[in-house]
Amino acid sequence: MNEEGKKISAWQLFFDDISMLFLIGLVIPTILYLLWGVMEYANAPIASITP
Amino acid sequence: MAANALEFRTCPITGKKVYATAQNLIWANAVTAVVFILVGGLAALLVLLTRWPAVHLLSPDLFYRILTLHPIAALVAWIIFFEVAGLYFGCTVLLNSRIAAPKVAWLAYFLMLVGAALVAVEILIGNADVMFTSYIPLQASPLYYLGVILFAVGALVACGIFFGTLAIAKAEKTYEGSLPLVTFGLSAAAIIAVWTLASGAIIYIPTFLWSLGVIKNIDAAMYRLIFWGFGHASQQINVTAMVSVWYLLGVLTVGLKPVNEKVCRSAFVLYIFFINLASEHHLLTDPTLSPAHKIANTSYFIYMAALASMIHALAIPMAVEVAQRKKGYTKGIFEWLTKAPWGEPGFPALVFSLFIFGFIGGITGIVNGTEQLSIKSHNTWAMTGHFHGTVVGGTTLAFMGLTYYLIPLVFRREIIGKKWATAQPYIYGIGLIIFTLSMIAAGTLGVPRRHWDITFADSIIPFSFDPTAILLVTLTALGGLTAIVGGAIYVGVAVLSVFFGRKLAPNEAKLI
Repeated sequence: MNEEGKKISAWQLFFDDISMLFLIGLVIPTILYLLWGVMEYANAPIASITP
Repeated sequence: MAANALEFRTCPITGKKVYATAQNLIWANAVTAVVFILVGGLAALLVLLTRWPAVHLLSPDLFYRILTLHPIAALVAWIIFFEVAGLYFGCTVLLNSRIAAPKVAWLAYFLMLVGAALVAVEILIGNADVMFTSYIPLQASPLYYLGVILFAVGALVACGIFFGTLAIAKAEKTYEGSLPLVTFGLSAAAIIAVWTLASGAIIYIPTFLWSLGVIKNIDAAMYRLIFWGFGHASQQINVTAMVSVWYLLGVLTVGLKPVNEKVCRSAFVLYIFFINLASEHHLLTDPTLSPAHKIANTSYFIYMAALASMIHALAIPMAVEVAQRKKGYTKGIFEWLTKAPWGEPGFPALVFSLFIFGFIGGITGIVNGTEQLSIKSHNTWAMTGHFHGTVVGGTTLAFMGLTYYLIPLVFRREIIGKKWATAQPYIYGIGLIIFTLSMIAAGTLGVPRRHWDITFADSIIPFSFDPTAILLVTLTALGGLTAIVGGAIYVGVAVLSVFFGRKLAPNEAKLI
């Protein structure tokens, strides 16, 4: 409910929660792009010079 | 700068409070942005006149130096200084609020200024011929990396000021209900900026230590992964800020009101969650990363951000049409469009920005972002044409259009040369359409990006491009020169108006 007693929709509450949007906005690219990518590079076998 | 933190005036147009501290900060950041677009534009002219085989102006050393300076000045400094001005405008003027911690905001400004100046000087004196990407093992001087870090830290602090001001505005109830859509969009841009700048810090701090010799080795592949978390994501800040400016230009020119604001907000949320995954596009030709990582990021999640762009691309013209029809322009299908305010700079800037971003920059980004096609277009001019469509035709043109309204609204000066200001978006927009389309077409014929001499005059094995490619390169040069004329008009009008424009009386409600 807002100050005028009108019901605020769940979507609007979600949009108004900047802190939560901030948190999710940092977590998704950190996991899907950065951490996943770092894990793949870290697990790549090192090339051997000798056959 | 020394203004009282609570000193304000009431805007005669919007009726909102404009605090002197916020106004000074907006002024400083916007003016600095214009200085950097002048530097970036001059560098663009030199690069263009070298890549055009008919002129081939600079020596190879100087070409790569100026090619490093151009994006630093035009892509990073101009756009981020302007975005900081936009963030402060969005959280203070639009919310009727004072700014949080003005002294810290000035510290952020000076950190950005010193950082950008340091980077530019290091490039110009030849200590950083590493191009924008500064890929390992290319090494610049420690001062170059330090400059980038100072700039990024300053921008990060500016984002903190923005969020702090949002909290103050909410606590002091300076606005009712939800954040206005433009401020909400700018909040999305600031969230994207925090992740971007954090990625920059993660990679640039060890690279700085590597340049000092403290760290012996940095993995080149790891560098590329994290660098693009900064390098490409910084363009996503631009996209999100640009869309927010589109809505603002719509309000200022036709009184736009979105038909369904929740849909527009949903699109911004999709940006927040998914747009930064587009960094993966730069790694599609990297053999180490698995197809799962590449496809998940670029062929699944990023389409959520593409969907968001399509929502905005439909929502804005629709809202313009509704606003115009409400004014009585209801004859036929297109009277709302023909009677639109084409004679004031904001509207053509909005339309050209939307068209160039949507139909040239955005679409080619989606095409080039697929793994199979990326292999063909990677490192060709097709990529360069794509991102000039997004950041120059899209973001820069939108910011230019907004400048003509910020000058009377916030800086209280009358625009000098209104006819030039009105012609400017047309000249700049048409020049960029020719420039980007020719560049993309030349790239599909194999013309490489970042190359000093595409005639390969000194090559042991001779090679010549198809004459069509050379024709397209010439068209690119002509389009680019037209856009540079448009850019020069913008700088001229903005500088003259800000410093010499007639001061508007406190109660003078004049926009443009």
